[in-house]
Amino acid sequence: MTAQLKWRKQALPYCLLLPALGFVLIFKIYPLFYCFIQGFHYKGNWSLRTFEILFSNKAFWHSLWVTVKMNIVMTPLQIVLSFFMALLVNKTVKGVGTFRSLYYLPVTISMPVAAICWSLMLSVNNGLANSFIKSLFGMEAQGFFTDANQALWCIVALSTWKGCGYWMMFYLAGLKGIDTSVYEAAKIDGANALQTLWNITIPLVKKTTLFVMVADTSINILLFAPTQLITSGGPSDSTNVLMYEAYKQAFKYGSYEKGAATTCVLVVLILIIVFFQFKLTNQEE
Amino acid sequence: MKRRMIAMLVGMSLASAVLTGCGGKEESQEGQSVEGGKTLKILTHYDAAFAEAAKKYEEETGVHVEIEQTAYENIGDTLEVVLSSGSDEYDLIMADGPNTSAYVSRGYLEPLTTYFTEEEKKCFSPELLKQGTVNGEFYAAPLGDSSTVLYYNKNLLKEAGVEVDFSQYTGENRITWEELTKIAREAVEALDPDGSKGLYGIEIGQVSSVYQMNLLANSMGGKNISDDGKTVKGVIDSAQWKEAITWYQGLVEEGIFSRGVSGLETYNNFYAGKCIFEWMTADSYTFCLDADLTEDDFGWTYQPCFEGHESEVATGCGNWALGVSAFSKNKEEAGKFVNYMTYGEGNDIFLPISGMGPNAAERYSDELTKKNPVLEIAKYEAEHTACVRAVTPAFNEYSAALSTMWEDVRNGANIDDALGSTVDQIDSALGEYNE
Repeated sequence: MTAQLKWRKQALPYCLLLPALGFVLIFKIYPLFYCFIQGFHYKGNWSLRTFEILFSNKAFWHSLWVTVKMNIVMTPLQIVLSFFMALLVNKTVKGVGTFRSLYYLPVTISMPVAAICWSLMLSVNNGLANSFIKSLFGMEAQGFFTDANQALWCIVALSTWKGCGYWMMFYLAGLKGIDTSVYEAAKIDGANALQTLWNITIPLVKKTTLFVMVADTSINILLFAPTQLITSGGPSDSTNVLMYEAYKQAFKYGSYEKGAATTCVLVVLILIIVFFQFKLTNQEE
Repeated sequence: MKRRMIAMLVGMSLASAVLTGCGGKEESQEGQSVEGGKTLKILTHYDAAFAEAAKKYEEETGVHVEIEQTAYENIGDTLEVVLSSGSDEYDLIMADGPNTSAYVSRGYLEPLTTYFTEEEKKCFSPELLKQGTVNGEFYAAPLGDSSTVLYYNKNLLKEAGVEVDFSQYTGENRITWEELTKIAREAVEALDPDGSKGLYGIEIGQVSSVYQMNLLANSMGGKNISDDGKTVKGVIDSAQWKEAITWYQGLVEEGIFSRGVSGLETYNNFYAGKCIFEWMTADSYTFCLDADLTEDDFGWTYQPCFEGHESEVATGCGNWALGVSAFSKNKEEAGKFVNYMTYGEGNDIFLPISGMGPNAAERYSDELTKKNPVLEIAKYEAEHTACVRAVTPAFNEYSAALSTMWEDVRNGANIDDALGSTVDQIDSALGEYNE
């Protein structure tokens, strides 16, 4: 093999990766850098004043708390649910394909459509949910998206319904990768279903769990559409997540610097969480 | 063969991309239309009214106006994105009147001083001129004016057996909110006693927006911002505001006003006969006709006042204004078009089609009121009760915070808490602009 041919062979993978890397650079890395640069500007000059204003703003801290609160509940909930959904559809029974499709169906619906459907379904006035609640249980109509105590959890429910099918597919792939002989050996050793789940299935899908955990956390922290489409951050700022706050600053108030600074905080938050998630998983290993 | 086919397809698509790219570049960068005349671009939610005036302008001057349409609630956000990047995408900026100050502070607008003489400027009503003027410079010319009017569904009132002689009401002798809510209550009880029909007594066209909601507090004597424009503390948390908010929240709780219904939906509810009274703008008359209602179906009267505050009634005013983008490459042509559309012949074409009230008392004509009889009331209100929204460069923040507050109290939030956090948010934004 000549040196030129060898060089070509070595360069080929990089050349093939180049278009994808180009897109990542243009649409991910550059905006991120630009965002950080903007965040460290105040009225066009390099300064920490934007962060100073941001950190002295009560609305920012409230938004941060709403984001954290939502994610503390939503991410574990989605992981657990999607894992159990994957366990259910991993069975080799007749018609399981239909269930897989049904569970995956919400993923194929766009978020704006899902948000509109849910807002109609949970409408305080003549929504489907309230009709059931009133006629079946004789209870008073619930506020749902108009109630400061319920709105955030309605968004959690909507996002979980929409997202679980997606994460289920990763778990399903992970479960399919487990050698059936391991289960057979456990069965011979007399392990019951719970022991098999705890001692075999969960440890063997650990890598999938790590991926799902990291990806789901990032997506959930950046969740924005339902807030923008249904609640506009209300009622009483109860759904005013940081991503929506950043959007408002940039596109409603024309303060790109504040919007960028808020996004920087979000990025740092994600990095910290992901770092601890990696650390935790590695420690267990 | 297959490879050649693919190569041909790729080649064709590349060629078409290059061709389209070139065409677009020539037009947008140079602002030249195909015929060689200039092209101006605007983002607006008015279609027919704007197009008709623009067509006439092109015939007269050869300047083509390209109209990009969007929903009115998207105009602000879209402009913010485009203008903050310094793009010359739009030559003409259609701004909601109170946003002028914010746009000027961000350097988005070009002064219109050279395109309007002092006499021409004086023709605009003083409130609208004030809204378009920042630091003594004129930046945004009003397309028209707005006003708030009470509409009622004649059929529903008849069906409910409630008789009200609306012809007795005038600008000096209005129905009160207290009387109106009593009528609404009676009618709802007669038509939808168990609430199964989803009928509302009164709806508000721009519900939870400062344009309309603040008028409740203003009609009790409350102001929108301090006189120096630097704070809302002691202003929007005053006794008048609290009284107005408490009154409104009580009626939402009772079901007279709706909850969880957007502004657009309230309009649709009125058109569909799902609400008895709708408090909306004067140009809504044309929307009612567009929705196939006739004057046999609906009527209108002056905006109500509060008992004991008859002399303090405050009605809405202000409207969309036209300015020239600071980034436009065709500033002169754009400036001339602004003059044509707001002061010149274009305004005469635009107003009757849009149903909007004129930007000066002298411009009310028989032709306009024949097209939209509600403008009779609008004219009276413009001269006597019009209340300008807060003039501040932080209007976006002010408007967003107050809209949230109105929506929160509508959803049952504690009034003092809601007002407290709104004051903090607005004052914090005002503080930044004052730095």
